[in-house]
Amino acid sequence: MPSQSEFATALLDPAQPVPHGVAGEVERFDIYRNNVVVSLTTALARIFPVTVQMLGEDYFRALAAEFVRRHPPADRMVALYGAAFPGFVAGFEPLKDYFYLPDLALLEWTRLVVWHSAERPLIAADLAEDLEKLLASQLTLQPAAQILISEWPVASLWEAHKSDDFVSPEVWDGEALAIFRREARLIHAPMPPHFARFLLQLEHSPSLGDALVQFVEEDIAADALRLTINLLRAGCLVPTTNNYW
Amino acid sequence: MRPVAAPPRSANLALNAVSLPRVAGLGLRPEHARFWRGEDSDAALEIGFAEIHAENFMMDGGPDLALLDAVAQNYPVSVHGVALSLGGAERPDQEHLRALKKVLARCNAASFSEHLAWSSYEGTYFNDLLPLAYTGADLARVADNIAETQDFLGRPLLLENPALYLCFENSDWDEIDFLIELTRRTGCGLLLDINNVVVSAANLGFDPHSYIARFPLHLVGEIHVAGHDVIHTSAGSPLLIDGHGTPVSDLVWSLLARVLESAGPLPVLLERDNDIPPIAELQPEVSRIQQLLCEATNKQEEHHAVAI
Repeated sequence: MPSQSEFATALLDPAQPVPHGVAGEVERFDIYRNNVVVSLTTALARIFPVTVQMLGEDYFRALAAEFVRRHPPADRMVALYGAAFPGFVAGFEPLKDYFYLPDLALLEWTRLVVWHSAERPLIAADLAEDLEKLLASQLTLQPAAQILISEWPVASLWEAHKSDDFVSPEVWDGEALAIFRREARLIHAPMPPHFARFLLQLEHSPSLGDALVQFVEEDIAADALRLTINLLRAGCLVPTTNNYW
Repeated sequence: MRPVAAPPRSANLALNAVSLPRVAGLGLRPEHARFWRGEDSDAALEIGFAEIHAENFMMDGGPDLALLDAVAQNYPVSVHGVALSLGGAERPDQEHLRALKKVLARCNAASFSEHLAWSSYEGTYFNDLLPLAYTGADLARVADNIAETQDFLGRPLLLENPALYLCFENSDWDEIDFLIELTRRTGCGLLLDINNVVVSAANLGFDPHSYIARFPLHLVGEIHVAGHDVIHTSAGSPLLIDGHGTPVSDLVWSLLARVLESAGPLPVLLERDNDIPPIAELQPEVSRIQQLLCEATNKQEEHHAVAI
């Protein structure tokens, strides 16, 4: 038998000869080469369906195969393979005119991370009713929630590309969104990027009141408070346990 | 064929540990979530157990795990690993073993099975079941890996025969002898994948009927059936691919009938992992498994009646 090292190297590099000690035609070894690439590109196509839709199935498969050869999985949980894919797309020269594509892929990756994250129990809604208590509370995004900020209208692009009749967004401003989960549904909460920066700030502030003060000069404190209450009610934000009751 | 009475099943540790019912089972796919949650009144399949790929449920939380929790309330769960790499040159990955143990505990697994194959090397995971040579040295290594796994998990496993596309010039053990020796050394049991037998037989040029006739059915704790694809080499010879994306073939059905006739009823899983159809379309195959199991049970009862 060839060493598993020789077998493994030849699997990911079609230019390598068939490992010595393997009986039969090259095509038999090629089945394993094909299985590895096809199973992993299929896994990526499931994780990045809108990117597939945007590039077309054939182009996506070829791109993903290149990614698989350069960044084969280190983790055995293929359901979470592809963290490096958005970065790979960003560095892929032939796609440089599709400048928004890496962020779109990142949005899809983020959806997957949110889908598989652990949840924290939702809080009682009355916190959002008691303003004084609320302002003194330290708030955080729940583990199954992520914030994405983009220079491009990624949320609109994602929405538009879910179907075949794609309409290009009218305004090419940057977009941000919070992605979170309610039961078995993924929810997008789009917002202007400065609100997203406020939410990230919130994570590091001792209380909501402290975080709002930082934004008073930008004149968005009132809107930020409204957004905070909506996200609390939706379960996207939660109070940290140490100061809650 | 001469009917053979099933040998006593207590001889093997693994078979004692398997508590899967001897009925038809189906792989748990999120695509069929409504059926598994009992919310799909159109699908009237009688499924006796669910099988999961362990690696699909190693995440921290989320709806897929919630589905597994719900299914485990209502069905015995067979946990089938695809990434442990028992045939690998390296020892089982400790982190993977820990994750596996967590999944087994979470769904109160009725059975755990893995493959005679490898899939990882030096930190790269290939997501495929890769072949190994059958030599004395390979046997010793796989036996050590199985023993370490069983010690860590605190339970024996069922080892599945592989689907092969090639063999190695230096293999000097027969596959069945290799499997039997592994059960002897480690106390593991076997999972007989009949589609894998058909695929390997066509690809490597042996007779699937003789293989099945020689297979130690008294060591088998579960059976898999699935569909395969046929491709052709440039020289025109057919190669079968273990695709799990098509209905079960006629040859696999007739071999299943023969196995159940000899061994009596066993847990039989219908594997469908690709091109997954609506669950109702799997009903004919599930019914066929049930029918064969029913015939095997009747035959066994007849046999007992004669013996009395």
